[in-house]
Amino acid sequence: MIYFDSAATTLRKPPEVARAVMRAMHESANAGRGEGSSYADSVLIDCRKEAAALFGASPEQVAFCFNATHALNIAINTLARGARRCVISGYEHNAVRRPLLSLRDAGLETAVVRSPLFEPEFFLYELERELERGADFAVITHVSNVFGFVLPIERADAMCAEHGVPLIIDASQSAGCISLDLSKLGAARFVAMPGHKGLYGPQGTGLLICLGDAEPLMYGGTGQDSRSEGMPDYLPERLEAGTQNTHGIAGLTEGIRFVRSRTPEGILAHEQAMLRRILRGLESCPPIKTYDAPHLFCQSGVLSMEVRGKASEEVAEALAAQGIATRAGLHCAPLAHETAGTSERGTLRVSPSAFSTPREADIFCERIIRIARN
Amino acid sequence: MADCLFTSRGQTRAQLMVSALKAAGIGASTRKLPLKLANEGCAYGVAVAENDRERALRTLRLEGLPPRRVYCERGYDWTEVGR
Repeated sequence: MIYFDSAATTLRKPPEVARAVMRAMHESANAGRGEGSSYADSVLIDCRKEAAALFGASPEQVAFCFNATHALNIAINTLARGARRCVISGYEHNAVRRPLLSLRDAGLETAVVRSPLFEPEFFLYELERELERGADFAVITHVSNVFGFVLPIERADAMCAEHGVPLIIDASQSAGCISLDLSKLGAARFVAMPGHKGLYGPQGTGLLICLGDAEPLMYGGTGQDSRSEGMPDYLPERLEAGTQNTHGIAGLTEGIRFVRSRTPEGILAHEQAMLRRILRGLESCPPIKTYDAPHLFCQSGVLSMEVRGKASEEVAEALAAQGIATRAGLHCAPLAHETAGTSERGTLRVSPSAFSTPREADIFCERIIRIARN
Repeated sequence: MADCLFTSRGQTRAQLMVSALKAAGIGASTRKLPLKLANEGCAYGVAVAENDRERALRTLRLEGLPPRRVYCERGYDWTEVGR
């Protein structure tokens, strides 16, 4: 299979990931729960250290979650306490939009920064206007999961810092392919990410990096402070009720090691090279409209496209029948489609990974051109 | 022989303390504390040899990972010897 749906999950992982999961399944007891837990304990701390090193954080700021959605819910529920107004980009996923809308009845207003695709300056201008109207916190995705639009997150962070507005960064599409040095950010309070996408870990893993206090979403046993009625008042244990996904976390550690060895810049350059090859291959096919950035710096390895006269689902199905996996529709991000003006038909999304090859890109072009012309 | 216990604010902190001590060439391991040393119930700390106690404390303070309390084995009991 040619797998171009890495923005949903990376299918091909470094072999060390599966080996680490298997070893943990054989050797890992319950971390922090008994004398047999030393291997599990080492799995957790190793992963925290690797993640901290990748993002310029400290290991105690790294909390384990089930996925990015879980991490975002913790972050949003922490900052939404007592908040009246929140500002988000127009490219947010439902993992941000839905938790915020669920708080509408509690009095939280969500203001959306509308800005055209691949226009970072326009976005910053509109963000400033919304921040000037007042905000208790902001949530901004680093990269749009639909279009690969890289939002100017460092400058947005500086702008939020100037206005004293804490920021949640959704790094679901950037973690592993765009470096983010948290020690240089001023307003960022949380960075949420999945383990199973650009970090090449197993599904069921996610990370929340906390640059301040956080409120738990779940309550329960932590293996420590058992007499206390509340959760521990320190991170990361405060957010980690119940048995952790140690098997998955063992794999995630190896995924992060892979990313660190290739470097996020190296992985991004490879994915962008794949996209450029696809764009070149589709140049001669007018019925295919691609959403590509005029400047390389504001698009990651994600590309949306439409085939004139055909529904994106129909195209994706035809490609799947020929062994090519893509993703069609709204990509759980109706807001992003609304902002970009593609919500009527959705798009077909192509997202290669560090393991994609030029030959796969060429085959994809050949097949989709055939579909478009039929 | 591990005969001193440094209590920590959590297991992750205890693991980081052990890493810092090992990096400084000091033998150390995480240890679940005896319940009588853990007011809030199950807790973790770091075990080190008494001979290494002072050097270990200096290292941990330097690394920004000071222990909450320090206990040493005296007879058959743990006695608090510092914070």
